[in-house]
Parts: sequence; structure tokens; C-alpha cells
Amino acid sequence: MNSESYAYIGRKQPQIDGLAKATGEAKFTTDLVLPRMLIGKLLGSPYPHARVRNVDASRALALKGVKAVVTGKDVPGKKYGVFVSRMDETGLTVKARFVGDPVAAVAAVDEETAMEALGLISVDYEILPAVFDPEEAMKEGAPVIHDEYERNIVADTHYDFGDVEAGFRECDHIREDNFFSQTVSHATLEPRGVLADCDVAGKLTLWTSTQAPFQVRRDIIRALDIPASKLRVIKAHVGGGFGGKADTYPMQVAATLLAMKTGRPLKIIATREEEINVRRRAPMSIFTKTGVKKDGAIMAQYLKILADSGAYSSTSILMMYNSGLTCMIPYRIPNFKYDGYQIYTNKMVTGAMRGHGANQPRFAVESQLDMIAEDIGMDPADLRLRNASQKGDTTVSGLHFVSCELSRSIEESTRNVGWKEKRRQKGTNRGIGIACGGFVCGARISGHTASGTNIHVHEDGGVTVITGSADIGQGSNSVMAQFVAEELGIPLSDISVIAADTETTPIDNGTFSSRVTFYGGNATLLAAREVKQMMAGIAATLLKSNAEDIVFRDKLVFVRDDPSRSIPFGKLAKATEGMGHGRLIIGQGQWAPTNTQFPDKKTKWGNVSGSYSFATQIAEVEVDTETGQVKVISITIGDDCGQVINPLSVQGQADGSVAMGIGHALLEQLLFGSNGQLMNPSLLDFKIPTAMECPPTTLLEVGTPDPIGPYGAKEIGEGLLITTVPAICNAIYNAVGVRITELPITPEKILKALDEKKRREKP
Amino acid sequence: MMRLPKMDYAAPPTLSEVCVLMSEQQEKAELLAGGTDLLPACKLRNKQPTLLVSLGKIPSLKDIRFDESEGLRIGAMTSLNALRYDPLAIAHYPALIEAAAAVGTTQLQHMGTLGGNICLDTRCTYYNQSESWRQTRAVCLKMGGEVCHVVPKGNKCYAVFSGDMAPVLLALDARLKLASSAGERSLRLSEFYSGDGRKPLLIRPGEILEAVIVPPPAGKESSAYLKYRVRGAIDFPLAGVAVRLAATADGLCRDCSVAITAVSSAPVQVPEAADLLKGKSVTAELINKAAQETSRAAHPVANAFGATPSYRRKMIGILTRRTLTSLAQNLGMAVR
Repeated sequence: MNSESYAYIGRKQPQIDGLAKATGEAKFTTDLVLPRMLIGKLLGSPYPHARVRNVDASRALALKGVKAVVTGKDVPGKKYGVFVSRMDETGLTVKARFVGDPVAAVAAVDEETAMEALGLISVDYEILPAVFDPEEAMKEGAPVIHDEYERNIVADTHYDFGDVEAGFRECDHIREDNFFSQTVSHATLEPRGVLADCDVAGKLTLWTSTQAPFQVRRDIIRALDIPASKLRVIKAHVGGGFGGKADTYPMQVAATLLAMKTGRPLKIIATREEEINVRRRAPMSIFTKTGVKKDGAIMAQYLKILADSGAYSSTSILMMYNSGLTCMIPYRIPNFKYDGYQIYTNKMVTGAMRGHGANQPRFAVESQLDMIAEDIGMDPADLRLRNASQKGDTTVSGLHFVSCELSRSIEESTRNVGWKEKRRQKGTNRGIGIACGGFVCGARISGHTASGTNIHVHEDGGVTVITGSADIGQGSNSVMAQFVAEELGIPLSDISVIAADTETTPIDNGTFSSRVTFYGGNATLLAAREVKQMMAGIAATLLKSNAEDIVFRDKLVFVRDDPSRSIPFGKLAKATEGMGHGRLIIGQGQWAPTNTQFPDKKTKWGNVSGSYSFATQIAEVEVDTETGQVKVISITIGDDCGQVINPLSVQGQADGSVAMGIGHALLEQLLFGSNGQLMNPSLLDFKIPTAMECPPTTLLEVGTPDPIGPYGAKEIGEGLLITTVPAICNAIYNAVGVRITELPITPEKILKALDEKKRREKP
Repeated sequence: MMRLPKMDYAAPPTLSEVCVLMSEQQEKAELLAGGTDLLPACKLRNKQPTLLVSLGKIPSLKDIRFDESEGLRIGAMTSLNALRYDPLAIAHYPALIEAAAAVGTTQLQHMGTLGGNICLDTRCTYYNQSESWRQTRAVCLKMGGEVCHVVPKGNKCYAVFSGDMAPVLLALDARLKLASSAGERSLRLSEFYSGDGRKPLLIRPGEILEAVIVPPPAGKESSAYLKYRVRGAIDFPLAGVAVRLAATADGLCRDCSVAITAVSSAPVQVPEAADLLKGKSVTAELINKAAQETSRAAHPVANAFGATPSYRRKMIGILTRRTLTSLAQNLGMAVR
């Protein structure tokens, strides 16, 4: 690590909006108020599958204070969705496909009136047969949820690299196991919200809680058949997304429609129940077959995954692609085959969620690797070291690793926890488990993926960074500011960031696929360097030196070999603007990696990401064998995210992903009633971990600067989370000798498995 | 955000005025203590009072005093947090402290009151849901309808009582003091619960819980409360066990009381378990038997998230054994 020479990179920096958030000054969508603003509410279907024959809103419209009611029939445009090939949403629907699917929306002077109006709307439904289980939904004759999709198959993705059959023939040991990963909620602190405004000229502005304002614009102009130039989407402060706010949601369509219809600003804020009922992580049934040589070398692997899509596609094809793709990252697998299916059902929609398709197979594969290690009498850490991907590797699927410190992460994390000694401890009901993983830094699988940043230097030396990258609480605004601070040698307090506004900032795909620091950061660096080059030229003239010898640091611009020849950054800015005929100090940067390829349409071969992160996670747990309760004692992470930009943000990602991983492993599960209705749409009944469940997290930085990432940085937001769940599963096995293959690992499952084990072990 | 319905609000400065108001308004009014149970119920439209009558302006309802003969008298509006840190309660009734500390979260303990926790409404996975959520199904018994979605063929409401304080107060043989315009009455806490999930309290219209009186500890005795929940905070109990144990000078069990919560529509005492120990030397075997008896007295149904009925029943047994064992050890009774 060479961060000693940096002024800002690699140093702990509070978030630039931290004070505003801590004091409550930061404006989230719910805080925004416009004159004459109306409040909107959505009416959800009480049936899982029903055609809307007619909506009679006359009683609602007669209620004092009600300004408009819109229904699926009022949506004039085309279907929208994340992927052009899978567009299946309309915002307000004429055919409800899950309980809660919005069929109408109301605008009223206040929320009480809007709620009362909902009760006065009569909807005449033709109830259709519904199907809730993906396996049932795939059968011939099952109810068809979207006419275009036979047997409800919305995505099927297949890889076949190398020669899997030949690979398995070479193996000394092969295991076949089934796993199930349950469905969980993003549980973002901030519920979804939108404020829509329509001016007299018909120009629309949306302030909304989103990870991807440009995606929202693309979808809404399609749905409502309006020109792109007539709609501006601005991301407000966002209280967490985790993938759930990566696509357009019905309230955004409804709010726009109601603002157009009433000519008044209109706000919709989701209740917690409505919030949970929008998106969730896909449950997956996973069949895993892995074969190894005696020395632990993986020779072949096959996965078959069946995922529940819920009522709409959302990110289905990307998710199923990721489930296979990410299996290729951590280990050298010479022969790999994968069949992934995602199936529509009449339940709420599954979509992107932190790790996006990687978490479920990672849980399966990492669990199975421990089972294999035991079968062949090998330490599970050694098995992973034996197969770990290395810098310079190209996988059979075409992924290429320009940097990779996985081996080091295994070595350092096992050393840090005292792995060998702790694995040997017996009779304590304490155990320790390991898992590895890796993730993309932005997967290039759709047309436009570049990011852009513009930088303006003001005459006093203050700097405005205008970026398309969307800060959703992860801190990308601060990261961008840090890059600029380092380049221009000015403190973060002199930098403002304007981000994620379709009208004023460069276009950007959005915050997902762990792409923001990698893409947006590189774009910001290019813009900063353009500004720096311009100003260095002027400084060279003023200081009678060469531009290459000019250094920017501590708000001063000086000659490298003679720092006494200097000019304050602010003075230089003024001089740069004023010299000669004057000029604007504006830098522009746009960036996408050039070492990537689109995955081949047929084979899916291709290097989809500029670089890849790698991580090892070690969990220590204690199991109460009487109650079956599991306590996570500690989590230790060896993470290769390249050069760490801000240790505080990176620790935040680690702490957050550990909490989310504990929830996924042990506590959380969205439950559905016999009518497909979500049973536990509240944070009382959907059990995310509290501080009481979260252990101390030790994060070991094991990365080296990546040759492509900005200042050598790679992703950390998602790659960490995917290893928490299997590390806990493996630790439980090490503690009490039971292997739970269906998540979440509830105390009852542990007790049942302990009982079965006792019975098996009886002579 | 969920919205409260429009309601009137009154905060009379004396208990007698509250009594008058409540007897006038009858079912249209609800008493507001800490509001941590009532206000969510109003937001969900489980309850739709037109008037909230606050007890917050009556300082005497927050009094705690200890008297060697009467015991501990705790005003119904005492916050759980105040109780948790009350030196008198800490000195004499460890289980009260353990239970208060186990309710919800610190924030809820600051707002929530002892009286409110005793009068906690029963809960059910099909009941504690928003109005629009409930509209997808027939109206259930608890909401005034005629079906039960948990026990479809049952004609009884099984909504579960989930208070943490009541089992402890049952084990301590507490009495309640109730006020109304007709006068005061006092009854044992065990006579306060109906066992009917629909209407769990045997409180008369217009009656107000004024204070709780816990008898003074006699000689060498102690008490404990253990709660099973999914998370270390926030959650209601899925099973809870309170025990009071008293020892003779020579280490035998002089007296014992066991009460359980969160496994039926009322907190219940389990004399069958306690009687096993009385007058005996407390052995591990005896404790196990008592735990089995207690488990047998639990009748949970599938109306709470986080554990199956059979697991909750099993936990009642385990918590009973753990509570009895640690109390016996603390009291210097030999557990073999």
C-alpha cells in the first residue's frame, strides 16, 4: 500500500453530507414540500391473479378533497422494465398479478382524504387461478401470468464451458447436494417515495428515492408516452437501496400521471407495508455437483438453479446470468456447466439485491466445499487455497483478473483468527467457518454503461463536481470528492457534489453491480486531471516552471523542487479565469473499461468486468444445543478491494454486510399466505438483526492497487456480503456437526438436525 | 407512514375525572398510557376509538412506594424504564427488573408503562395487520367477525397474550387496584385475565387500572424471568417463564410459584409445577419434572412469527428448568 504519499486517498474521511444527515437537515423525498402539493395513494389488488373488468371511482371522486383517480387504463404508453427483452410492467395494471399489485391511484389534498378515497373505489375483478410455487408454475397447464411467457419461464440461462462430463470423469471424489436460499427483504431504512411536479408548459420534474434516475426516466417516458426532454428525474437523498430501488416502481408512474392530470405537485410516500411489498431477494433452489481430485483440485462443477421471479421480471435475466457468472470468480474451475431458470409466480416481485444472484449459489457452493473437504480429509481453508484464482488468470468463461489477492486474503484472515487452533477445539459448541467469494466491478451486459463527471472550478478555488453517479447512502459523493481533493490538493470542505439529476448531470446507468467507485471514480479522475492540466499550465507560466513540475497540495500550487515558488489554489483559479481572454475552468470525464467484452450471446463467454474483487470471510459462532440458538461471536474479513479509498466507508460496508448476512443466514424470511399475500410486511415481524445480533467485525485490507480502478480501487459493496452466509453455515457445522442446507438456519432446524445426528450416531 | 385516524383527545388532571369520562364514553374511548400498544393498533385500525383519554396528567399514577407490610405499590403509569431502575424493585424483586428490561427496546421501555404492559392486547399474525391487508380475508373473531384463520374450524379466538410483566407479577402473587366512578376494587392479578383472545381482560367498562401491589418478600426468596424471542431486542416473547422461589433455613423449598406467558390468550400460573417442589429438596430431577409440567401447561398455536407452537412449548420447559436451576443455586439450595 502506497497511501502514505496521499493526502486524502486511503485516509479516514467523514461523509461530506454526514453532518446534514446527522442533524436532519438532509432532504429525503418525504421531506420535500411544494406549494399546492397533493398526496397520492395506491390501491393494491386484494387478489393474487385477477383481471380488472371495471373501476368505478365515482364515489371517491365525490369525496371532498379528492382531485383525481387514475387506473391501468390511463397508462397510455408501452410496457417498461429493466431489460428491453423483458419489459412487462405498466405501473398501474389492468391485470393484477400479486396481492398488492397497484390497479389505481388517487390524488387528494391530504393523506387522510387519500386513504378514505381508496376505500371508496370499487373495482370489479375477474378472479383468475393463481400459482405460487415456481415448480408448479413451470408445469404444462399452470396459470399463465404473462401471455408471452410459456410455462411462466421468464429467464433461462445456460453455460457450458470446458467439458464437464470429461472433468467429472477425472475426479476422485464427487458430491451432489441440494440447497435452498429463502427470500428476504432489502429492509431499507427509507421507504420509497416520489414527488412529481408538472409546470404550465407541461414539463415534468420527479424527485425520488432511486438508485438510477436515468432508468426511471427511460421507463416513465415509455409508460406515459412522453418525450425524454419533457421529464427530469432528480435523486433526492436516499436512505438505502441495496438493489431494491434500482428499477422503476409503480408509485413513480402513478405520481407522474396524477401530476399531469391535476396540474399540481403530488407526493407519494410508501408505508412500511407497501415498501416491503415492492421488491425482494429471489428464493432459489440450487442443485450443486462438484468434483475434485484427491489433492482437492476442483475439476468440474455443475449448478442447476430454479428461482422465483414473482409477478414481474425486474432484473431476471441479469440475476440468472450473475448466478452462473459469479461461480467462476473465486476458484479455478476448468469445466463448468450451469442451467438457471427464473419463473413467474403470483407473488410480489423479486429483483436485484446486494450480491444480485451471487449470494444464493455462493451459499450452496461454499457449503458443499466444506462437505468435500471433510470427505477427503482436507482443511477447508487449504482446499480453498488449493483452488484460489490468481492474478492474470482467465477463466474458462472468459473472465480475466488483472488483480487478485484471494490467496493472501485466505492466509491473512486464517492467521488473524488462529484458524488451525480454533478448528481443533472440541466440545465447546463453538465453531469457526470460512467462505470465499468475488464480485464484478460493474458488469458490462447492456448497451450504455459509461459514467461521466464534469468539474467546475470557481474563482475562489471552490470546486463543484457534477456527476451522474447516484449516492444512495453508500457515500459515492464523498468518494468522488476525495478523488478531486487528491488531484487538486484541496480539502473536501471546498468541494460540493451535484449528483444524479437527468437534466444537469452526465448520464449514468445507476448504482448497482458495484460499479460506482470503479466507473464514476475513473470518470471523475479524468475530469479532475483535465482541470488540473489547464491550471498547471497557468501555474507554470506564473511560477516560471514547467507544467509537469507543478504540484497541487494543501491548497497550494507549487514547483516540485522549490515549494517556496507557490501560489494559493484560489488565486490560481482566479488567475486562470482571468488571464488572456479569460477561460472557464471546466473538466469533463467519461469512462468505461476497455478491457471488457459483451458476453457472447450464445455461449456467454466474455470478460464482463474491468476488474474483480475477492474476499475471504471467517465466522465464529456458538450454538446453544438445547435451544438451537446461534450466536455469531465474530466475523473476520480479508478483503481485496484494491486500494482502499476511505477506510471509514469500507468499514461501514463491512459492518453493514455482516448485519445483512446474519439476517439472511439466521433470521430473515418473507412469508406468504395461502393466497400469496405477504404475511410479515413489517420490521417487527420481518426479523432483520438488531445491534444485539451483530458481532464485532475485523476487516483486513489485503488488496494491492488495481491497474484499472481509480487510484487502484475495486468494489466492496457486494462481494463482502455473499460470503457471510456460508461462513456462518460452515462455522455451525464446525461447532456442533450439523449441516443446514435450507436457509434461514432457525433454532428449530438445528435442533432437528442435532436429533437426527444423535440417532445416526447411536450404535 | 401509517396515519392515525382522527380522534379527540382528553387529559384530565384527576383520576376521578378520567373515571367519569370513561363511564360516559364507554366503548368509544380508549385509555392512553404510554401508547406503544394502542397507537399502532389505531394506525392499523384494529381499534377505532373516537376519544383518547390520557392518564399522563395524573402524577400520583407514577408513584412507587415500599411498605414492609403491604409490599411494593407501583402506580400503573410507572414507565418500564423507571421500574427497571427503581432501587426498591431492584432490592426485592429481581424478576420485575429482568422482565422490564426484556420488553421491546429501551425507547419502548421509556414510553411503555407497567399498567399498559399488564393490559396489553392479545396478538395474532392475522390481526396485527393493516386494514387493507386484512381486507383480503374474511373478518376474524378478534376483529368482530366469525372465523379464525389460525384454527380454521375453531369457534374461539386464540390471539396470544404477549406481555412480559404479567407472568412475573403472577409469580409474585400481585394484586391490582382498579378505580371507577362506582368506587375502588382490588383483585388478584390471576383473576384479571379472561383467557378469551377477543377480550383478554376482565375489566369492567369504565374501570381503570390504578396500581399494582406486590406482596413483600418473606425471608429467603428470589425471583427470575426468562424470555425466548428471535432477537435480543424489539421482539415480543414467543415463550416466557417467571418463577418465585423461597427457601427454608435448611435449604428446602419453602414456597414456589411458576407462571408462563406468550403461549395462550392469558398469562397463566402453573401450580402443578410449583407444587412438585414445595417442601422438597430441590434436585435436578425434580426441576426437570417441574419443567415438564410447565411445558404441558403451554398451549401455543401458530399465530406468532419466529417459532412453531411445538418449539415454543419446548422452550417453556427449557426456560423453566433454567430459571429454577439458577434461582435454586442463588438461594444456596443444593441442586444435584
